[in-house]
Amino acid sequence: MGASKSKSVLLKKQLLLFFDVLALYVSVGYDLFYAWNEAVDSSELFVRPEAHQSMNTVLEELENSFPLKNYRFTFGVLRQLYSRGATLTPAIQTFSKTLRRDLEREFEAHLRTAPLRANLCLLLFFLPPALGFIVFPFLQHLRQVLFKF
Amino acid sequence: MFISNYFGYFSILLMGILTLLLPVWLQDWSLKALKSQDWISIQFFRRESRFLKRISLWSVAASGFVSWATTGSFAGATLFLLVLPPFFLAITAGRYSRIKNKVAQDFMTNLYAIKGLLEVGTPFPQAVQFISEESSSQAPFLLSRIVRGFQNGKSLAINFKNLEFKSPGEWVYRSLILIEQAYRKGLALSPLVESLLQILELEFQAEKRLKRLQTEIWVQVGVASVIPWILGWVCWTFQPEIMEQAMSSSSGKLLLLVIIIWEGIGIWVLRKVNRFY
Repeated sequence: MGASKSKSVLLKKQLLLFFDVLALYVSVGYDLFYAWNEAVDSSELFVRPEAHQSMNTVLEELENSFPLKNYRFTFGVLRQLYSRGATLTPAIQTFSKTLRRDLEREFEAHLRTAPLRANLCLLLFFLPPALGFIVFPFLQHLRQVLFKF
Repeated sequence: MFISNYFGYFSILLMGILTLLLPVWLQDWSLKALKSQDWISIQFFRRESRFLKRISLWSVAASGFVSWATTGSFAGATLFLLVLPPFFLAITAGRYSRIKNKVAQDFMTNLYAIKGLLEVGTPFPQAVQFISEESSSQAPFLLSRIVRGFQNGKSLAINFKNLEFKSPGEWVYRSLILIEQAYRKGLALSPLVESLLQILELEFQAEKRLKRLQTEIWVQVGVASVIPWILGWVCWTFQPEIMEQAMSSSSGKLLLLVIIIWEGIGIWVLRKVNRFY
């Protein structure tokens, strides 16, 4: 559970960087396909599309198979806007802001719940050994005394 | 106090060899264990090697002396050598992490200065060069390499790649990539740097809070893991016969082993639970 949660946070951070770079190019008028390739070079999240692949195909594939299910819709929305020739900058900037707020919320939730989880782990994993050291020798002694009777 | 047999002489010889050779092995092992190949790590290990060798030399020598003084042999020191690599790695990793954070913090400070220079119309490479010459922090060593590479015809992107921190929390490298991309395309840099600085401030604050929380938790773990053994020692002091009888039995030895394994599992679980990235 810990490993998949940290993996999703890492993915979100990489996606955030990807959208930031994408927004940088799209906001000054570059085409999405060009901006996408530039963003791919800066980020480790995606690979460059094949020469025969259109932007539509790339976005559709991501809409169906991106690891973070909650964010698959962003690629669907981008695909729709791109195919209609609409402005992409506000959408990408909004995705960026949403991702950032999501990460902040997760971070705050982690800060709130981490002390409780740590205390539970301490109770579960470190209290029994302490009790073991106290109780076990005296139980052994008691057993021997009772055995004598 | 020396054991007057071949084993005693052999253990003295072994300790002498290990005291001389172990620091270098541990240093190489730590570098490989940290799996870091970026420029910062190479510089770090060059600078830190004397410190690392000194502490490992003294720790091996001290453990050998304590073992010989208390038991007359070096058997205890040999056992201590099993504990030494993780201890050495923890110290090295801690110092390396502090160095990287310091460089990242210095970069952010330099970015403020670069922003100011961009606002008055200084071209970006000149701004970077000026900062690398004027600043006294560690980050300029890296900035000056970037500028030198740029003057030799390499693109800033290739030079920035040398700064890869390989850490998800460090946005400085990623911010520099964005700045380099904007510069290459002739886009306005000043507003970009301003918005990046706001993000970096938040990131650094978040990292500080996370580190504070993790430190508090690990201090609690340290205390909690030692308490059972202290209690055991207290019980041994007041009831030595009962404790000796219990712990020398097979179930007592099994209990000791289970306690060690259970605490080890607890530390592993806490590491997983405590992690955010």
